[in-house]
Amino acid sequence: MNRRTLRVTAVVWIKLIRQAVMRDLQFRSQSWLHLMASVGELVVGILPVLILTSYAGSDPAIFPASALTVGVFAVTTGLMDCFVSPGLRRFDSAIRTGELDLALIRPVPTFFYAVLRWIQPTELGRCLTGTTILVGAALTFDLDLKPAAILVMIVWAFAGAVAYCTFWADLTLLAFWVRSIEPVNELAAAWRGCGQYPRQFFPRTVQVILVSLAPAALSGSYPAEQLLDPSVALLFAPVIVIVSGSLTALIWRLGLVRYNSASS
Amino acid sequence: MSAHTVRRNGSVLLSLLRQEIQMIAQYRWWMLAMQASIIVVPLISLLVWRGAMAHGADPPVTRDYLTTYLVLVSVVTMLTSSWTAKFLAENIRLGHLNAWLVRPCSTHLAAAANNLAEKVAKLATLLPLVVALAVPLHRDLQLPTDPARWVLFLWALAMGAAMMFSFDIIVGSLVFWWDDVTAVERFRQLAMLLLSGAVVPLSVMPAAWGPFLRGQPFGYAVAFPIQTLLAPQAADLRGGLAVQAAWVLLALATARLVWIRGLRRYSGAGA
Repeated sequence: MNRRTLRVTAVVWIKLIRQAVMRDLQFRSQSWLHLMASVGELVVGILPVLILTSYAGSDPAIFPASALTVGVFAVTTGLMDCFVSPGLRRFDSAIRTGELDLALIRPVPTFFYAVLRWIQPTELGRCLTGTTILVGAALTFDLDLKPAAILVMIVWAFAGAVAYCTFWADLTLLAFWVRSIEPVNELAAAWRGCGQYPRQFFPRTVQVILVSLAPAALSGSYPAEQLLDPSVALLFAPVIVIVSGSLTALIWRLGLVRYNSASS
Repeated sequence: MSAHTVRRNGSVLLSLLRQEIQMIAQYRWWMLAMQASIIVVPLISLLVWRGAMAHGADPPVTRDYLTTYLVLVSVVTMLTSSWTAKFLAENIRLGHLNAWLVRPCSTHLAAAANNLAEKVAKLATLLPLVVALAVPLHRDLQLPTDPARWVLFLWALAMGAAMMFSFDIIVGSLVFWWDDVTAVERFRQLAMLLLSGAVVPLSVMPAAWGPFLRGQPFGYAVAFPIQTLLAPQAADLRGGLAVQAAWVLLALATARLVWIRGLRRYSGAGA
């Protein structure tokens, strides 16, 4: 990608964000309801974790770990649902109806335009709630969080969110090969829920899957673990981003070869 | 309703069912992905609850109860679910309802046929996945052998499905008054997820919530049908059956009232 394309892409993305905000300001009552529903979804997600944790009384370390996991999970999923997942949810329909043609002819990277142009600013409400949970957990449990640990957590949360988005995109790109694969978005969204539970609750094999093949833990429990015990080298974070991004790019290229407009 | 009307509605419903099943057969991957997504949430719950119990967690139910509940919950959730509200709202808003209003049969037959046909196809896809999940856990499954319990289970399922379908009609019909009901639908789905027992069994929720959980309707769509199989004594279910029947009647009556009132406001495209 040359410098001009990069600049055009940045300008287009800023305009897309502005357009999304204007849309939400236009439909204010719906936006407020969606904001509340977004926070409600977070609460529904948190409750099972809290209920489960309330019965796990024998291990006192589980309470701060659960609270931090839920906080990190809320922030990462808020970002995903604001910028990435709305586009991924529409991707199947874009392939089937030939809407992808419109993205192909634009002077910006097609994948960027097809996936990242549907922005839902109200989902960022979850990031705010997640940050509040993190601060609240740190104060309640009197956690002595070091700035380095916070930095490691932020880097891993970003890398984990990117890794999970690429995993989700890999599943969605199957739309190039089968007639309709829309519910795979529900599958990816449901599997993401694994990330809001502390990893030690899962069997060992599943724990490995959750940080590798289907990296749901990378967007929740794993960065939270780094906050309490920043033992893993940060070097692995960019490696994960590069590997997962490359795999998605490969699938995208293979899929695009099969695409033949509205009749595909 | 005369016998002729019933016969005609039945005949239209059968034709629509055939049409729906033929269409669903075209989207096999769609169906498989959908069922996989339905089973993932209880699978996660199953893994974490069993993991937590292995680490010393002490919930108020046994490990066998939790395992059986979470293995069954995806099937029950699917069989009692309804997804009509969004499509009904769109039909009303865009004026597509006109085509059904002039036909000599119920306006909701297409939605009912879609619901039934998809459930048959979904059951065929979901059951192998549930069996695959149940096989490694078979030692911890405690299903009743008394046929009466299974009859009761089927009855509770049918009641739960009727109630959820009625709720869908109510939410979809709100478009007669409002431009957009997606947020209302989103809230209903949230309430359903939390209060039905689809994610967490109601029996492990805090004891103080008990009276509220027993009174609210969503639990009678998922948790109660499973309870008909897992309750130690069938006699304990009498109260639940009565409350479920009351909710079903109330939902049906409200759906009919809202629909009739809404139709008076309807004026075709642009309504």
